[in-house]
Amino acid sequence: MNSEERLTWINLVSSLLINGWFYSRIWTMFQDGTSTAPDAMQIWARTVIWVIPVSIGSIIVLTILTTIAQAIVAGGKPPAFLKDERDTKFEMWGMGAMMLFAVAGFLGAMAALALGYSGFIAFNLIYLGFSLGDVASNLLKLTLYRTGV
Amino acid sequence: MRITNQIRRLRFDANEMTQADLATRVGVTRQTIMAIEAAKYSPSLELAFLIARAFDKPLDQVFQFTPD
Repeated sequence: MNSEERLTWINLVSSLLINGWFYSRIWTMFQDGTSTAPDAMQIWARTVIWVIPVSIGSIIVLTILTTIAQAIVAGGKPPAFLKDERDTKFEMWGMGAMMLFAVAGFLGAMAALALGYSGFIAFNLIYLGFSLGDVASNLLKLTLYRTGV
Repeated sequence: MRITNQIRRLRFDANEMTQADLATRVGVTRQTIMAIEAAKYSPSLELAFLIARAFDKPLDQVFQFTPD
């Protein structure tokens, strides 16, 4: 497994953990009625603003931990961080998958607004598009690394 | 369409050059060389030329194009 494939695994795990936490929070907002409160969008936006640095931080921490673990397994030899044309190609395919979901999320949000749903629902659909796109992108890249293209 | 290659044989002929050695020479990861050898990844033209040059062979002696 090269460094980029390892990073893809880290991104996937981080994305699932952080988004799992985010959606549990959104679910709680639906359950306790906060989603229909006047300040619902403010609470939602503050949560999203927290998600971004926490995601970046978790990726950094997981990368450091896996690098140390890999170096220990390899007898003290640190793993090489090399990105080549194959990684770039798979990254572009992953970006394509990401864009597909992001656009679907955006269109879903526009449809929701047109049908009279709240901005809270619409923004969550946009977020859902991005988060599913992120997971789909990582899964596609991991599949390409394993099966080839 | 499929691109096959003779990299494994050429490595063997070149004093059993390792995949890691070849990867270092052409500036890619060992995993990419493994994928190319196994025909799971078709390299760019630039990388194909670099690999051919590493064996001091013309491109068509390293890579072959086989239509389905």
